[in-house]
Amino acid sequence: MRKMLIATLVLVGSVALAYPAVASERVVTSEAVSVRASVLERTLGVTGVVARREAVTQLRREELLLELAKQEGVDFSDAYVRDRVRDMRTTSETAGENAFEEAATAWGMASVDEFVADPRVLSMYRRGLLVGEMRLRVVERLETSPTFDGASDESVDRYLSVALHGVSVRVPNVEVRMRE
Amino acid sequence: MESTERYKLLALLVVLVASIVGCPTSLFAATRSTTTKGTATLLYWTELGPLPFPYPMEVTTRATYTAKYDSRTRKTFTNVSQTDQSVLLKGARNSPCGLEMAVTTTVFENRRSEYRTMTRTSSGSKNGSYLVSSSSLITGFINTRAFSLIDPRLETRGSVAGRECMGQKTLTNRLDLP
Repeated sequence: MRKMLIATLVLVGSVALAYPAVASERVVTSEAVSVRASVLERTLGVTGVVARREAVTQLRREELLLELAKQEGVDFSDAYVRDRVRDMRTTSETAGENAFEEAATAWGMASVDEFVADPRVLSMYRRGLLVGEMRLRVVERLETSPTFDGASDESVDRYLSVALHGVSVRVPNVEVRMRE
Repeated sequence: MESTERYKLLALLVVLVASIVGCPTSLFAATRSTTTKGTATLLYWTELGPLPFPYPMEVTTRATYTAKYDSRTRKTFTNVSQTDQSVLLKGARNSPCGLEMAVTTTVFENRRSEYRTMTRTSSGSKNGSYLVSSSSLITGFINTRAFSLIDPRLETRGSVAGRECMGQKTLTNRLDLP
């Protein structure tokens, strides 16, 4: 009886631990949508519903690019991500800019050293680099296609739709989970 | 005979000097280029905070031209046969920013006068950027339309922005010909 109880607890525990990792792969959170929408408001000048709709579209596309990376076994090592972040920090400091200081402050960290060593920061950098890498790979594949009609976002979406789900009608809906 | 030869030589020299001094124009061809360097820092916002993505950036203009100086009017006529302009972003291969790069060249005439004349603009590269090395992206175009101007100034503006990121960068390049 005790063994069964322990086994059940282990099973429930492992599922509970694994669930967020699995779920987060295809979840666009409301925080992410709000942040991206505010960026779009400042860069594109769009507001309200239009900004949120575009934010969701962009974030969905990023999730699908990450899904494609996983499907094709593309990933960056910790060392690669650390090297890239270190290179970018050097570029910024050589140019006399304080972008990394401002970012560290925005993340609530005391120093840039702490910022570039933080696992959450490196994880987000890895995510960003993977999105960029996969977008470029998709565009390169589109350019060699005989039906290439420009590397627009719509073309990338159509490619992802076919590559991941075998349908070319529209971008499949990714679950939008409101985490309030 | 010796004096005759001497006279012939002297006459030849006179003709040569006269042809050089008396010639109203002189012509030369060349290619010149200039590059402006800077850094484009784009901010990729996550729900946890911003991540800076700074990239070294270069805007280059290269012009192939012939210049003809008219000693009577004391003006140099420059015939530009080709301009090549580009904007380069180093290390931007896997940028998450959805980069958009553009380059435009404006040609001014009479740069030495108080009022310069804008004669033409060229903007290019509809096909987006492409990789020139394992990690650097470039966009640009070559203009082969020839035009002739007095004291031209080629002003090239290269810009970089990201659809998914905040921030943009524009670098300006000036190339005075000849």
